[in-house]
Amino acid sequence: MNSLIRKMSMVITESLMSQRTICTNIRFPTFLQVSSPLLAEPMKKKKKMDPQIIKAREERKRKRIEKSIKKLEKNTKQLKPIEEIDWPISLQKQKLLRERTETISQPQQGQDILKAWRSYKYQQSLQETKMIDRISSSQLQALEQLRAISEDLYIKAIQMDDLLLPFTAAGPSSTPPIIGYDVLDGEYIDETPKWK
Amino acid sequence: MFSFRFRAIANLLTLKNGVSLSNVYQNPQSSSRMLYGSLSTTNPSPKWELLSAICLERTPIIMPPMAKIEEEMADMFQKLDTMKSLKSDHELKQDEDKKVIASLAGENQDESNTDVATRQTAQDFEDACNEELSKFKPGSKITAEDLNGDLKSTNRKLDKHLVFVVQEKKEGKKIWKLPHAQWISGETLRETAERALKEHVKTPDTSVRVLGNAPWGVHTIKYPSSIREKVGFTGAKIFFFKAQLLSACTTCSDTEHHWLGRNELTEYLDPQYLRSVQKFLIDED
Repeated sequence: MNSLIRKMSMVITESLMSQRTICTNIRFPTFLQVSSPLLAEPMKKKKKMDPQIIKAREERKRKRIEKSIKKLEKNTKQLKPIEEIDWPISLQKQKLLRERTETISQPQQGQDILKAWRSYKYQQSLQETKMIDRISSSQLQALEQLRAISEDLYIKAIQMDDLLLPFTAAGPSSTPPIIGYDVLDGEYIDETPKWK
Repeated sequence: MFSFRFRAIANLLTLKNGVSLSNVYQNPQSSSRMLYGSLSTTNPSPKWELLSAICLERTPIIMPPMAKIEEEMADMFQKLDTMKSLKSDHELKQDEDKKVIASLAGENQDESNTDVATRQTAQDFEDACNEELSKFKPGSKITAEDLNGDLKSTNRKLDKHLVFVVQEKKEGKKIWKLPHAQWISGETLRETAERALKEHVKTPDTSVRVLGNAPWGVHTIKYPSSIREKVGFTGAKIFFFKAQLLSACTTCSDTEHHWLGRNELTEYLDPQYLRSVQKFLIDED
């Protein structure tokens, strides 16, 4: 009986020694198996942070990030000097691909048209100057005759009309406006500012 | 002092080409000669009745058609510009499509058939766009009133100026004139013209723009000696003020009126009157 117990204890101790166990006397094992969390230093008590300090820290972080965003945006607002502006690189690479191969046909005809255009435009400008002369002389004549009749009315007539300047006029279009045309709403991007 | 005033007038009239007329018209001697000249022909200080007339114009709404030389020029420059330009993305796509079609002709049609069917070529897109354009009908340049010959409406001769003219019955004669009113002391000539306008035209003030305080032209009517003694005036002077019609006007006036183009003015107005009016109207072909 005693020998049996002794054998059992030998087996147990051997198995215990192969595993990680803590015990002071192998003869009286505690069967306390140890794992790495148990071997580690016991946890320290967590100190409660001042909520204000936490908020302050978060605020500072946010400000730093916003500052950096503003700096980057400033860069994009500054316009490039014209000397630095160039076509997009993708298009520069495609230039050869996009060139045309047609040539001018009948350069003489072009020259004839230009000649006719020059004389046409000259005649037009002559007529315009004549017309302007005529209109302004008519006005001057009217003012002279008015002056001969009444000095007072004449002075009132040569007053500046403040409502007339700045003068705007909508020029003629190529086709007249369509009556009752239903104008479609275009696409728009909603830019209302959002306040948090 | 006289020359200073003259310079003031000349500076008010600025020319299109920036050339001022002060060089041409700043001759005080000739103008003073004209002043004294008028006084010496008739009895001392002739009395004139003052009338103020308004020349209301409907400015052109559409552009006149291009002259032949202008069309040729526009055509030539269009061709030149396209020739010097680079191909756009749309054109590159068209070139690619051509290559695909050319390669398809040689290859097996089974493999790439579905691909071709689903692919929208650049030509398809262009055709769709052209179709959409053809569906849009712009307003016609020649209106119904052009064909009617309805002289009362402003909706005709859209590429020309139209002048507002009213009929006046005097001693049984019907005369066509620009609307006028007699000057009353206490108002400026421009105000008289505006009053004349209100009497004849129903549109409110804002849709008419009077061009300045100064008259644009003058017409003198000399009364025969029999009337001169009756009325006490040697004649009448009509000062013309120019105005632009800013809005459309279908039934402007209750009185007998017409909106006349430049050619029609010669038919309706008196020749002498017409001459004075034509002096300050803009040229038209």
